[in-house]
Amino acid sequence: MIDLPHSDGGHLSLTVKVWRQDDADSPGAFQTYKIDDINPEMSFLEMLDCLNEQLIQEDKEPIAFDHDCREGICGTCGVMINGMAHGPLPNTTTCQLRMRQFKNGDTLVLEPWRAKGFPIVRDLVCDRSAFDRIQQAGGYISVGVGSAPDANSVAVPKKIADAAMNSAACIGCGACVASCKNAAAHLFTAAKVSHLSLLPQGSAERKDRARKMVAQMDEEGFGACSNTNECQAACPANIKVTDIARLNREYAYASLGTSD
Amino acid sequence: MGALRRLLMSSIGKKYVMGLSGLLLIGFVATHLAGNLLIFSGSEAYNTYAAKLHDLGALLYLAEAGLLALFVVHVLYAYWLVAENRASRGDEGYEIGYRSKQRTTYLNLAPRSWMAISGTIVLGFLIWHLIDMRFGLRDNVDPTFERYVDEGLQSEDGRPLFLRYERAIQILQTPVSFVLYAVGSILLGFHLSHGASSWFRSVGLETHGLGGPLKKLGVILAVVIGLGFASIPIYVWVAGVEVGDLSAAEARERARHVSEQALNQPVEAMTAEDVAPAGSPDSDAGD
Ligand code: HEM
Ligand code: FES
Repeated sequence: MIDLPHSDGGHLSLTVKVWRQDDADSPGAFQTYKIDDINPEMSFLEMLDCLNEQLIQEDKEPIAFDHDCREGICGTCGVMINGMAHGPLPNTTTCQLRMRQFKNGDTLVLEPWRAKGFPIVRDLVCDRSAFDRIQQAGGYISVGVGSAPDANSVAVPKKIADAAMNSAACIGCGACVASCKNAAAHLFTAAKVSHLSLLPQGSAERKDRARKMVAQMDEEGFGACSNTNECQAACPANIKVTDIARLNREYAYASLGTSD
Repeated sequence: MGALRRLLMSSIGKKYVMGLSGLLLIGFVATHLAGNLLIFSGSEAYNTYAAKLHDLGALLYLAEAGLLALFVVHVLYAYWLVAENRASRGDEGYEIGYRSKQRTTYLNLAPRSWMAISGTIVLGFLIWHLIDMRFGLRDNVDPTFERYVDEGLQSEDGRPLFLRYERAIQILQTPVSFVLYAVGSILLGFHLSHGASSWFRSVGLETHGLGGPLKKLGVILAVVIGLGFASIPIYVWVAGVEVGDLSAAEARERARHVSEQALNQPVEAMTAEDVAPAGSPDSDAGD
């Protein structure tokens, strides 16, 4: 991992350079703010809350940023912090990042996720509905699987169950796209395809799923995968690039012959 | 047909094409290296290999056409992908760029981040390579070619006999080629240190636990290929390999020997005087 600065526990004074943009059609620009007295135990989003209070008191427009659960499960938050999706820590969302990772006097550069498939809504907020559309294209099981079966009546080997569970951990935050030099959405799509296709209930629609989700992914304007592994490094949910290999395999299988 | 088109136009299908064409190119490059390392065994071994290879005739032209197609596909798809991938970031890129969260790319020197650049340099080198070794278009390094052909250095069916070892050495002795071959080879190794394992994932063959070992094998292969090719110009320069200024008679004798040994083909007994056109500047035959 990158050498992480660590505060000595004292409160922090920071310079924050933030991308400000009124809406998708207006031009944006960086604005620089100073903020003092940041408790190092605060989360990154709490620091932004403090900055916004300061802006409101100065009669300025607060910074728009996305957030919901603030505990790393909803995938709503996501800021490019000094060029790194969700900041410098591995397996961490922006809301889980603590200010102790920064040093007194640091300058933080905050940008929204940048991708053709993620148009800017305002400031640090981008529109990630492209992910919803990829999911809707095939990330579901529509065959009748009956009511809840008896425990253990559908045998799933532990290894497969674990792999499906690991892929299901994807929170759809978009850090993979943000950190990829090609703005590719393969890690996201691969996690969704892996999660469902590994399980017996999902395997019935494997071919259609891979084909449709990849088609939607391409249509949204995301790039191709160059196998640089940046997505894996940026993913807060620990999704592995081996899922991308599986997606590539599923897609090859789906392209052979007929649909399901 | 619609399905195939859809496949080849998709982001994943394009990478199948990149990966498979890259894999086949690696196959060629490895074979090409194995053959060319014979340069270390000297004139006879190398010329014999070359004579046998070129005796394949039509088959060789077919292989060359296939190879050209592979390169064209790989390079066109590469630039196609690069253009699309750039566009995917959107009009407004990151202001300060993005910093890698992987330790190995802290300085961002990782080959995987430089595929288009290393590939483009390799492409430039390959064009040069074709100009001076395949087509012999640089007249300053061509003593064993046309001149001797004019002087009767041809087999019974009229094909010219080349002394490929002597010519390769003379080409590599020119500073331009020395530098370009050394740099091109190293850059090819750099390109392959990502490419030689990347294709596994692109075509979907990588599975859990296989990634690490594949990566290591790929890097080893890349180093062998890069340093293997680079060793040839370096050897020629460092060891000061000389082929001397062959007279036509010596060249013909060498070519005849190789041809008869390697191919069992007698060389037509012609003398320079029979063939050399009137006023030919090359009147050194029989020196
Ligand atoms: C002897 C020559 C070459 C060999 C053996 C070779 C081999 C490879 C291999 C095996 C890959 C990995 C494909 C994958 O990730 O699935 C690759 C990728 C690539 N090659 Fe080459 N290559 C050669 C020449 C070139 C040239 C001349 C270019 C010129 C532009 C080029 C551009 C690229 C690019 C841009 C990629 C990365 C594609 C991506 O991941 O998006 N290569 N190459
Ligand atoms: S706010 Fe829900 S993951 Fe960060």
